[in-house]
Amino acid sequence: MGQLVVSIVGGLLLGGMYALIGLGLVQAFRSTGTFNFAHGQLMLIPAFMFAGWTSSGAMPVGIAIAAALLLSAVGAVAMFVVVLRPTIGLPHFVGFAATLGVSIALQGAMQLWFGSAPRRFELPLIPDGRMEVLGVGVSKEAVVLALGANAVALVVALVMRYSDGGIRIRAAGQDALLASQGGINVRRVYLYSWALAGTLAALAGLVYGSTNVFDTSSTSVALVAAPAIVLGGLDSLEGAAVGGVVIGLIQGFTASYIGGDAVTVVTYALLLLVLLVYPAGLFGKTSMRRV
Amino acid sequence: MSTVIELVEPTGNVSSPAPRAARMGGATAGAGILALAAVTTYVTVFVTGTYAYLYNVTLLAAMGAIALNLLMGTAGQMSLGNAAFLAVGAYVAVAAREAGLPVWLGICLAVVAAAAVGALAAMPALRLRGLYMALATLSVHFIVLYAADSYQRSKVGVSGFVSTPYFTERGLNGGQRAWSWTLFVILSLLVIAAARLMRGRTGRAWRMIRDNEEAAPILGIPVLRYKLLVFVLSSAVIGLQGALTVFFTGTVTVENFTIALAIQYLAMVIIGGLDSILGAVIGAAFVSVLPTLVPELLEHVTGEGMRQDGPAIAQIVYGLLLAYFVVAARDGIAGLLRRLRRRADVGRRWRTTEVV
Repeated sequence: MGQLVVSIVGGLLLGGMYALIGLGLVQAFRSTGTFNFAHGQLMLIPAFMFAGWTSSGAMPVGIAIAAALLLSAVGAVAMFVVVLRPTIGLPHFVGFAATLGVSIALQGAMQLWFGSAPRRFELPLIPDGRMEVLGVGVSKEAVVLALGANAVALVVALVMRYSDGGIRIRAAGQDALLASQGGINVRRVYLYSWALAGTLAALAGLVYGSTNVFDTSSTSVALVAAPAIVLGGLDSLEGAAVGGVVIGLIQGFTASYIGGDAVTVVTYALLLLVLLVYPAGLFGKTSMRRV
Repeated sequence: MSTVIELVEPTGNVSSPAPRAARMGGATAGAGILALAAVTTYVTVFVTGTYAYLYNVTLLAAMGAIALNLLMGTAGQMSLGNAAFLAVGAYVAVAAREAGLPVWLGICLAVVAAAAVGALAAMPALRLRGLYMALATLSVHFIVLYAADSYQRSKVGVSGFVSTPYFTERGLNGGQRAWSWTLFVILSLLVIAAARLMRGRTGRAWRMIRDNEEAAPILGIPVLRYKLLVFVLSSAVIGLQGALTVFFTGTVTVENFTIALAIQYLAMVIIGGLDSILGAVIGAAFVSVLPTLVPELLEHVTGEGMRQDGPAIAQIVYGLLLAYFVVAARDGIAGLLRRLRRRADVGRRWRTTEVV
């Protein structure tokens, strides 16, 4: 029983994070047709900056959080405008390779700026200590952040689905030509999509940074969003959220019952399986050509 | 009839740089090998220490770059599995060494193992394209590394396998010299083989698969067979590089085989120029030399000792160059050289006609 609870809490925490990253990735994907490999850096750089800003006490925490989110939003938009927008219309591999290049460059920059020292920080307003869930002791912080991250992901997904702005963003992502003829400013929508992607990544980074010790190599965590969104369906927002939570839970259970080392290989073996058996994912539509 | 799952792609598949690359004939390959021989002679005679080591590192990297170029540039198959195949080659070689097998046998086994894994990795490729294919190779990477990590942990632990490099008995410089000539021979054979493949029917089939995979069967090209072939060949060569590296450096540890390493080779191939052996070699040289070159330049400019930041700064440089070249100039540096040469030719022709 204890293991079950720990698995679920840990899994939901991870899942919430992946859902946040995945939502952003899917939205970015729709606007450029590429998977953004540099999301890991978008996620961690704000975490590092936040750690730096708050450790010296120089900045009030609320402002630091806002600044971190803003930083990633701006960074994401810059990445889109400078590197990825020129690749729209070119074969998808070009954009993907471009994001690989940017991610590697950012990784190098992170190494220069932040060095190899691991960090961790505490978010305010999050209670410390342990609590009892179904008779098992778990960290309060983990529970609060797990619920919080998933709640935010749910809210974002709902906003995207039902709000006016959300519908525009989705329309622009599905068919840019029709959307623009319908009066949607597609170019601006793409910018918003990327700003949103960056903000969500930063949020995920803050969640991660307060529950884990991280260093510059932690960027690979965001890469796990790839199996998540493939499972959910590369062009589906609901899929991203659901896929993220599912992968998170799978990771939580694997870590508990099999061991932490197996987590990565199980996740990616699952990705391979999904790609081979059902690449469209749970909720996605994809073009299938019979040749 | 086969079902292919892919994203709706705009025109074309992977890149199609200048088809003139196909015309790299035996003559050019021969010239390349002569140039390589000249450089190797110069290095083995005049260069010692770190730079001799660096030269050998470059020669090794060139092998992998040529292989990846065949896979990505000629056949248009996107792969992040480079580090995984290096790991297969390296760990099979290490296992052979631990078992007491002779060096040459270990290397042969490593090549066969890498080819086998390559064949397995090709399976997803038969159904997937583009981004999905890349993600599949990403999975292969993590699965292979897990196996390697388990093996390493069961044998030696985190520090990895350590032993003396081959040729050490000839002394520091003698060892590097011996390696330079050995690698030169292997690389030359590789260049000849790659040039023949790229120039002949196989190369044309690969390019057809790259540029228009649906139409290829109409021209009688067995797509499955050629895709399998390019994966097996390229991973065999990368495995060979991995195995040789084990005997070159003596040490192997799982931490070295990262996604960043795979991206490094991607950078080599794209910066150098896709679908070009010369491009692969130029790219390999560029990316291998950069971590050493950059701190040197910085020291001259700023006078500061930024030596330990070399790899990080080099990463920034080739990361940005990778992004730039793949978007703006997919035929890379080799393409640039080609265009410069053509412009020089045109200039000459104009001058001759003006003399009436």
